[in-house]
Amino acid sequence: MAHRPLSERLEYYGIKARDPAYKGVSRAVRKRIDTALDVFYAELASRENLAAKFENPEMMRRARNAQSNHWISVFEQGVDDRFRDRAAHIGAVHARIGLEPKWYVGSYARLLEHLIEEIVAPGWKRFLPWKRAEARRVVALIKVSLLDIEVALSSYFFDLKGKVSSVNEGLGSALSSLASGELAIEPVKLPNEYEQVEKDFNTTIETLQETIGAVVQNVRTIRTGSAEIRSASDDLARRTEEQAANLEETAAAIAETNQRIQDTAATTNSASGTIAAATQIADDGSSIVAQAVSAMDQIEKSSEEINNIISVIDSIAFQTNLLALNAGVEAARAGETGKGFAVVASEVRALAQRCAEAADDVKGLISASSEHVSSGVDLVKRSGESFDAITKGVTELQTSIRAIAESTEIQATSISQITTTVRDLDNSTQQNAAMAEQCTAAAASLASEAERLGESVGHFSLASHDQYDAHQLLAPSIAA
Amino acid sequence: MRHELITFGVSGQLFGLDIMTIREIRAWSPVTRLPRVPEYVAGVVNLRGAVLPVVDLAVRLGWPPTDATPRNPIIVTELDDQSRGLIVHDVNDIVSISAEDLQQPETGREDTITNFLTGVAPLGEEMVMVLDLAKLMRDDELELAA
Repeated sequence: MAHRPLSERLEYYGIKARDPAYKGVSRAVRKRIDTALDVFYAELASRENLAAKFENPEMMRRARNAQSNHWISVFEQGVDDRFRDRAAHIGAVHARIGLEPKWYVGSYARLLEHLIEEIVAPGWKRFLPWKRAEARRVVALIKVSLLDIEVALSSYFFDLKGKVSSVNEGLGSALSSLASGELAIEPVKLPNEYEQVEKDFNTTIETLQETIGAVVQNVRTIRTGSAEIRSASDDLARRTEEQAANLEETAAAIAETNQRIQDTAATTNSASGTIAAATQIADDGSSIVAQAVSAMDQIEKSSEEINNIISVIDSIAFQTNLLALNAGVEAARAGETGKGFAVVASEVRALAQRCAEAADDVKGLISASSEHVSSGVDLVKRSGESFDAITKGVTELQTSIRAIAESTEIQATSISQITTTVRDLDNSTQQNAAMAEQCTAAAASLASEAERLGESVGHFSLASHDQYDAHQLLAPSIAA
Repeated sequence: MRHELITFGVSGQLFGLDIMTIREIRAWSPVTRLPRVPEYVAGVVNLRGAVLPVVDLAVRLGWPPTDATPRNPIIVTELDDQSRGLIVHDVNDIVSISAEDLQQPETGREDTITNFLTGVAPLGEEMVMVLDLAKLMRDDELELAA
């Protein structure tokens, strides 16, 4: 109920907020209001349909007191905002309990009857027949006026009620459809007074349809997207796992390589030692060769001396042989007497021959020995050259080994760097794996949220011609 | 009857001489060459004060001359009180052969050696050619030299 400014009504009614006349009315009210209200409420209580509006007698008593207070106050304090508030409150209570205006206005008619009597024919004057007639005329006028007002107002309210119920029906059925999720409804048609409501409502329905349709479409997109994310994150998780396995293998391979490099370094060191020893041995060999050559020279010299001695022996053997032969000749010439001597000569010759043969043998041996020594000298010289070549080769080998050692050191450094990098990679992979897991979980959660959202919007059915039909669009997805 | 022989080698062939024709065997010493003598006369040597003519037996037998060294013995022979030295390559042995074993060389052979031989006898696995000293020394020029 709109609270229009009270002053406008006062002006239209031709009354003032305060008026000297109110004083007289106030007196009459104070004198008769209780009686009037008692009569009125007794009457009200006697009517079952009206008494039922009050929950209990206490409530009725409070209403009565409020009424009394209202009447007394208005004429003492003036027709001001307090009056308007109280009146409005009373009207609101009546509306709440369903007390129709006809009863309220009628009650006033009954109540005013007492008050008019008190004003027009107070006290003893009520016994004056003309005063009483005057009072009855005023009462009749007031009552008829009130009845007229009441009937006119009721008619007005009836019309209003009709419109309200038409709005109720139109909006009610539309809202009922909406409540059941049916968005595909015809635009509602409301009385002209509710044109704005009708327009707003239909626009709202349209917007709702579009919004829900868009939501459905979005849900589908989200579902597809979350499925893709999930598949991608699964892929990512799998690859990350593979990567982790590969990294592990790589780390193992690197560790092995590292071990090999350490081994190589150790081998290189030991090779260096061996080479140093070999160099020493080769040097020793060279000096031994020199000694051997010198020994061979000595042997050659000795051989020459032996040859000289053999020549002497041979010469002696030759001479001895000749002497023995001559002895043999002499013995033969001596004839029978030389026989024994011939035997001795023969023996001596045999010895000389054996001596010569032995000398020859020794000579042959010495000659062979000389040849051997000669070839030995040659061989020793060649072995000396070989030793030199070996020393040279070993030196080159040492250079190579040193290069290998340096290379090994560089490799070790590289391997160390690789190890660090692999460790970093491993860490990253672990983090990636964790992230992929989180991603999968998030995708799953997103999918389930999309599912729930789909179910939520699945309750709505959209216009069949509309491209966004929640049931149709969501059915296959829910099945999936 | 047996023959006592001194065997010796010349140019790889084995020869023998009757031991009774031999005075001594001595080592080679440088010979003094003589003018206007046959090719086979190597020269003369001093044998304990006596001049001894020396024959290169290889040349006498028709072979290349001996390049003599101290290892080449000289066999000193005596025939009809005349001493002659023979340069040989080496002296082998004193051997004894049976007269029956001594075979006459084939007659009519034109080579030089055959003319100087008494005969040929087997000696072990070898053959020894037994020289006739008289035939070897029969030479006017040699006579002249002496």
